[in-house]
Amino acid sequence: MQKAEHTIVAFVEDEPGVLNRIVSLLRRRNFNIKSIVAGATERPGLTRMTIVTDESNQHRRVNMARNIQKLVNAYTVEDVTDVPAVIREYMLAKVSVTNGDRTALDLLTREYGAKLIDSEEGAVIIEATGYDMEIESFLEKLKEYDIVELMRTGKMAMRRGSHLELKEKLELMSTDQEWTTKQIQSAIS
Amino acid sequence: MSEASKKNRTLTGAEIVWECLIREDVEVVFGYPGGANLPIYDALFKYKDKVHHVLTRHEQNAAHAADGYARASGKVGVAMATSGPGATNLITGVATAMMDSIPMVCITGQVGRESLGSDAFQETDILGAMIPLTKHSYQVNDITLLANTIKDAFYIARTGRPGPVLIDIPKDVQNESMVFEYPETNNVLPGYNPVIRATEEELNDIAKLVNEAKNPVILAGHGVLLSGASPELIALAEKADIPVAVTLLGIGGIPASHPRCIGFMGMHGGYWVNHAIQEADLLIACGMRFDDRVTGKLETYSPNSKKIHIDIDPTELNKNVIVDVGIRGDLKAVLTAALPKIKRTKHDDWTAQIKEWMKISNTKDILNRKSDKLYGAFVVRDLWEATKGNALVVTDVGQHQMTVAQYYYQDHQNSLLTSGGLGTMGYGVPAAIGASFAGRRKPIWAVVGDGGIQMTITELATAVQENANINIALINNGYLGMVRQWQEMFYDNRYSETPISSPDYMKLADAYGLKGYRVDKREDIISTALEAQAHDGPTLIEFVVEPMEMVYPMVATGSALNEMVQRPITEEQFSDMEI
Repeated sequence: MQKAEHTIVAFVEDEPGVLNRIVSLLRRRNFNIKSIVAGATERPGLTRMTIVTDESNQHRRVNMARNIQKLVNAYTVEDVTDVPAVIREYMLAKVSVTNGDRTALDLLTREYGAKLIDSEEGAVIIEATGYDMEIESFLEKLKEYDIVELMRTGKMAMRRGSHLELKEKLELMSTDQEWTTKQIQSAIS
Repeated sequence: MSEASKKNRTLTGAEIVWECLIREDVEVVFGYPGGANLPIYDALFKYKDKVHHVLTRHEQNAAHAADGYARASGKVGVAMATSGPGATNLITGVATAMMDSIPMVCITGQVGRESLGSDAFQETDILGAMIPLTKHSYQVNDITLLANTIKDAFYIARTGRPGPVLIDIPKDVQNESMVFEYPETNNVLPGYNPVIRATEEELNDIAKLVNEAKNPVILAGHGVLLSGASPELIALAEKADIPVAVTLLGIGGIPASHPRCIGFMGMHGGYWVNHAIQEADLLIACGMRFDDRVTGKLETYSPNSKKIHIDIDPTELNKNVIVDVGIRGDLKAVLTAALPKIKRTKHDDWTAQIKEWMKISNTKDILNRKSDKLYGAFVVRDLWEATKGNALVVTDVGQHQMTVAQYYYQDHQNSLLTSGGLGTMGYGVPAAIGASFAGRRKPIWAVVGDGGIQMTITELATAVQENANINIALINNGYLGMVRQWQEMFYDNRYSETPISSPDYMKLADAYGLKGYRVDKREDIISTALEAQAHDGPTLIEFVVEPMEMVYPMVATGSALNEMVQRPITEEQFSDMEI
């Protein structure tokens, strides 16, 4: 059975409007975005995005990656749905507490490897990271308290292992392959 | 560079635009000036001897004209407009070019950078609006990037799967100055790298399926023309004895008179063509995209065939029709490499079967109707005879468009210009004007309907101002014919808003300064067409045709491709018909 979620990583130019282009493309092609996370990388000028959709059709999944790859601003796209990858999410929750709750909440937080990062009169802020099931089950427990604000980032993905092909791909991509009639002729002969 | 030559080469952004266009081999630009592109138009005086500007009467038609020029010349078409309404008017023309993979660069003026985002006078977020409608789009906010951007835009427009590119230039960038040097190489991202060759494995896959097939059909699309792959396609069809069906935009990729060409496929395609596709055991789809107008109901499409799909655009593979072998590559390169692996063979039984289907269909062909009345199909058929099949034909959208696809037997490449994907009414006249600048030594015939011509009739003035050698064959049936046809077939004859009146076209031609003719008898078609063609300058012939005529055969939406509605034969119509 296909996983319900489809996760891809897109490497794109760090330029104004690129996120707009990707989101516009996915909307136009009728893909439903569950989350999208974009940020800086090890290379200046390169933005890395993790895009999660609920697409289950394998042909459409391939098509979506190819569509993003087709954008002029794209370097390369990887489908990480079915390969070993670390997929993590970050969450912030503000919980309203009276003094009596604090100890139990503190214990729960530690149990899930989460952190109490702010503690003020009447409310605390907890941060947690993990794969989706961890976050879900922590949240389930947290619901016993009064959650007044909650924010999840959406997922970030990175393939496991050295995965040197990617590094090579990004380094080796050259701009001098002009697709001209002349070159087609030489490709043919 | 010396100080003196630096000074010489210090140019404004507006001048740089023209310098870049000239270096990209642009000879003609279609456009309309306005507030935000005044600097570009002022700089044009300096370059008048190198670039000809055609003032269309509406920006949409500038885009259509650039599109028509691009299709007829194989070069990149250029359209210009000002900001705001000028830019938004381009949109229909750009969307038309995008759907049909036409290389085009559109240059719009924009409000000054300090006003961007302030809802300034005539400000529109044209970049945002154009993102889904273009292959790529730019806003140039730094004059030092201007020349590079224009170079990249032309590269993107014409390479890979061609398409329109927008360059939006704020007015103050047009006014700034810098030392100009045209970049030698483009700056396009490394990820943009159109793949052109197939792998050895892919070539073997093609060869295996082709060599094993008993009833193969080649589906030839626009990619055949865009890639210049006609000779290779014909070689494949001849070597392996494969019938070739063409899409609307693929017409001309193989001469209609070629023995292996079986004709036009799809909703109004040949009955025998669609039957061949449905009964085939192998489809070889070459540079086409399985549009719904050529597949009919997807679930029933060519159910027993293996399918090979070759396209430069990988997103087309397995998009609509799931194929057995999907190959990303330039068609010419892929076919050239595959040909030596293909065995020479004959498919005589299959050819004979297709001929049988053709006979059934011929009995219902309107051209076999003996009638004193004037039908659109007679006009197209006789225009073909009058022009000896050598015209560059531009169509609008509707019944006449399908009639041209059926009865103007096109033997030449890039000689049918029509809005296939978007189906843009109004395309015909401006596109024909654009095509007239392509330097093709062919008579140009724009076949249009009374609905479409009234959408862009303003361009008659442009045709006269430019003394464009175009002949407009107006098929006037007093209806929006194709919509009326659907109302007759699927809406119980309720002709909601499809009857349409027209001005007196003879007076109109006279007022605009065209030579006008009116024809209502079949015997006058050829002589009038020849007279119009001999006239120096634009002409308009109004053919007053039967109002209720329909385009047959037809695949209704939701039907399988071979479930075609054929032309009904009545005793009266066909009383003395010889079959």
